[in-house]
Amino acid sequence: MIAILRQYAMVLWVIVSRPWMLLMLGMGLLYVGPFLGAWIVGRAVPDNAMTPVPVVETPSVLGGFGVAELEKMAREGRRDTVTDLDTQAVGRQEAWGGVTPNGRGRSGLQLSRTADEGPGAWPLLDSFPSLERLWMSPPDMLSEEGWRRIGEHTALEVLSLPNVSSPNSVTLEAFPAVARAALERLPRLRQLDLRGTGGSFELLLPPLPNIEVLAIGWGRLEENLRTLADGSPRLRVLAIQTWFDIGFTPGMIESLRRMPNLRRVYVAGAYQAADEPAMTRQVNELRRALPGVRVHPGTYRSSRVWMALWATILGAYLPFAFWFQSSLLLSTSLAWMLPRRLAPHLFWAMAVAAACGGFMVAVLASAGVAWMPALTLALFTTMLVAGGTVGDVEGIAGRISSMVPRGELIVGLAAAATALLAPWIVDRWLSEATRWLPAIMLAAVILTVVWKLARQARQPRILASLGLASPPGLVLDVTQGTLSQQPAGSFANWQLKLAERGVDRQISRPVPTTYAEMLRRSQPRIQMLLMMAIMLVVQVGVMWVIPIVIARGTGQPPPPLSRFLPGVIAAFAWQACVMAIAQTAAIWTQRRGSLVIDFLRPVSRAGYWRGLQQAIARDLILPAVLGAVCFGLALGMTEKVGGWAWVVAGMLFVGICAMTHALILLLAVTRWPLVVGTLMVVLLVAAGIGAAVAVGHVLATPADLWTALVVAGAVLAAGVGIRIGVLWRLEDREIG
Amino acid sequence: MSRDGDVGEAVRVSGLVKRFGPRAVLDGVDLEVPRGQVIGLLGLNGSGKSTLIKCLLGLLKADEGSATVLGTAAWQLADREKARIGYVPQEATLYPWLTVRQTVAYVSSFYSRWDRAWGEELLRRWDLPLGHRVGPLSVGQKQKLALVLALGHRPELLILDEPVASLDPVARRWFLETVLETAADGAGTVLFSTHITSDLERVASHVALLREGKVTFHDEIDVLKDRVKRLRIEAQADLPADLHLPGTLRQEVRGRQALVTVDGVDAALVAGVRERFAAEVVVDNLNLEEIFLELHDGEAAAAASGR
Repeated sequence: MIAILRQYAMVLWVIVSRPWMLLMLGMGLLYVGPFLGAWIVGRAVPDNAMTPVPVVETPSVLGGFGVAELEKMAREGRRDTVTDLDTQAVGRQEAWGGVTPNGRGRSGLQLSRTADEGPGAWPLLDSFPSLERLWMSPPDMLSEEGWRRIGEHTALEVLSLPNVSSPNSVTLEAFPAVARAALERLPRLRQLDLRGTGGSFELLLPPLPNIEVLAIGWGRLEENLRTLADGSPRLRVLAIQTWFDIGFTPGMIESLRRMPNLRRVYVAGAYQAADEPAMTRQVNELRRALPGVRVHPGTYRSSRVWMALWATILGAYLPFAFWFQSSLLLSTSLAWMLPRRLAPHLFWAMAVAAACGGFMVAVLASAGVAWMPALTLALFTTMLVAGGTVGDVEGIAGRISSMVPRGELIVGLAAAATALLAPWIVDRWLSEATRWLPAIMLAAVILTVVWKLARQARQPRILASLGLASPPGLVLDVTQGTLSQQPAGSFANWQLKLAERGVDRQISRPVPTTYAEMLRRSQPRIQMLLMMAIMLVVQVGVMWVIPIVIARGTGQPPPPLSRFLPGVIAAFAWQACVMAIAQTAAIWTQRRGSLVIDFLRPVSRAGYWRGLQQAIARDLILPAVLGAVCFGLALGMTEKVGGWAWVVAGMLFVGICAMTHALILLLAVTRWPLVVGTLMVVLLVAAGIGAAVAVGHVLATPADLWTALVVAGAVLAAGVGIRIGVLWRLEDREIG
Repeated sequence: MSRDGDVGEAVRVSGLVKRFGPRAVLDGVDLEVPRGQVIGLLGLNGSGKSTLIKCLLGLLKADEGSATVLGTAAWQLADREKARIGYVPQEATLYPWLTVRQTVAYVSSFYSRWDRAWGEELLRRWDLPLGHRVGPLSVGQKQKLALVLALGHRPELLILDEPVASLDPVARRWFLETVLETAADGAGTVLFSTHITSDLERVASHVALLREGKVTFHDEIDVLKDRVKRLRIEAQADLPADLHLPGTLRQEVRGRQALVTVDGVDAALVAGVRERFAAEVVVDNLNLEEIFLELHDGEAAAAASGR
């Protein structure tokens, strides 16, 4: 027994004593703060407010871009050609009795409302006679005058007014009539959202012959449903904002059954988390009554979705580090020959996974996530990297091995994209509003985990068949390569094949013209570019496909990709930049041995160092371009960027470039690659955080320019300082 | 008989074929290694030595044929058998962040029969710095540590893939003595591949020559030495360009003199040469390295001359 305990303790020590592990654990702490913040916020919100599920089309352009476009059209005198108006794109900080300039520096907008507009009157709408789609949201208000002006836009097809209130000066009693009169004048209306719209409680809907998507309150519901059943044959999506203690009367059910094209009903009976059981009851009641119609909850808890996202990120980190390390220890030929090696090595990874998974389940359950999805998420997250660092070479096992991680990646990206684009769908899964999906996913995750654990035990065999001494990316010793005795033509991995061909091509080039060119030979750049291209295709593809899937599921047209593309590309560029830097650093670290030989080539000491600097600099062109794209998009996505923002971004860019180049140069020649590598990660992470803080300051609060300049200056000074330090007496450095 | 009472060969390989893509790295290997034998695997780079060893360890699966180790199919090696095997790979994979002492403690914790005193003796013998991290150790020191890890549990079968290439002469000597100790009581079997034939001659009783995926010779080293010899021929008249001697591995004819290496020299052959060419014939004994070179150079020369 003591021997077994000693064995397990030794294995734990071997796992955690690796400096890389300590670095990973340290970096993991960066996640704790934001998560705790989200958790506290999630728990601290007293009412746990529920958000309505959007049912009508979403605005076609973002607010910021919309303003610029509208301004341009106004300048060119083409306002009358505007068909879509999202009032978020117009100055909107309306106060009682007048209009105040908004706080986002748009007071000079020609489109801003002026003080002579009465509260909620919206004479501005007269400027857009061709409106077909109009979106308003709080703090917008609509007075009688505003309703009248809406009614004048008879071409309107989409009208979204959720929670738009009315000024106190207008009596609530007047509204039903005013709103009804306005709606009566909109015969082309296809989509209408009146949930929470001020004064619509007593609204008796007029006949809406072309309506397809409708969201209404519970006031006069029975009469309104009867009107719709009689006069709105095209209605296919209906969202009803009910109250938690309201039941559906036989008359309501009867009317709903008479709607010939009704496909989907959203029932919003919950405004707080505590109301959810009542909403579930109402949903189930309607499901039983309308078997051919999909009935879903009409509100969702965004805090639950965000909690799930954060818990997933945090929950994955520690198990990832342990699985990664266990995988390494189980993959070597040394480990292969150890008797009874599996249990103690898997024990710690599984123990950490179980602890983190348990913590995740507890946190998720406290956030209102049902048990089955909580378990699925915990299992998926904590066992994500269990085994399978290298797949089998051939046969069905090989195909499954290569499909599993790709499937996980796609499912993970799809889930993240859905959480961002349509959180109500994710919330439905989290709250187990649909039972079959969590059950299927749980089964899939269990199968995947079992498969991967089985692969884990076979890693040394798989690596041996690939001719590898240790798994790619899991190099034990930075001075030791991973490839060993690769049997000719036995590469099963097409990326490696391509990389090999790339290396061959580079080696067979004519004599290089400069020493730097020679140093850059045999760099697997093709593999790096290929990896980036795949990442870009997958990410943009997922962001492209998911909205279409969501739209198909909800019956709405998909939101245009242009809304998300800049964000997706910025995120991709950021990831790709980090990966490109990491790969460049890894390549030069692995070339440490050959750099000693290179020094013996016919080159002067000065020429050697100059060539080495140039070669590394050329390798950093790709990450530098990606970094520039990040900065450019971060600034470009903002409506108005002052000159100082570009100055700050420039300082950060130069600082990070100088730092990266100098540290990789140091990494390539130092005797302490682990220390320098750790230092490099810490400094670059710190610089990245600094860049985020500085850019955030200069964009969000232009008045606080000094903070941005100080942070950017610190990053620049650190970068330049490190570079000077590394290059100081460079020619006197020892090599090897 | 082994310590566990198993009988039969320590290693038995029959018709083993292993392909990587279309190329057969092992092409019908047959080999039997009785318990207690020290056998050396000799072959050129790429002849399949490491692949054969990986097949024996269950790391690679044979496409055809079979391999059993300590009475168990190599692909099915279980913990019980692994506890009786010691293995040193060509490239020792050790954990650079651990100290030598920690590495030994980690590996020894998996073996119930780890001989602590023996392990410490080996560490002392090879002068390994216990408190030093493994990462900065020299290649030779890492190889020594890998040997300690493979020998510490007194394995019944020791498989070594070119273990001495990085060792200094002193360490090599200690290593060879240790191998002899392992096999001394007749319970330990050692199979090792190497290019240093002098080491092989010192410790191995048998040798297996691996060439193009096949075992071309497997017997006692002395038998090989008895079989393969070099004839120095000096005739009265010029000799023909090809002497057409049976079993010729390599021949070099210059006028009336010739050097011929022959596989299968006996008194009748020598007498025949004397009579046929009216020549003086001196028979030279060859050491293992010379035989190895003659075998490969001879075949290469024969291939080049189209014979």
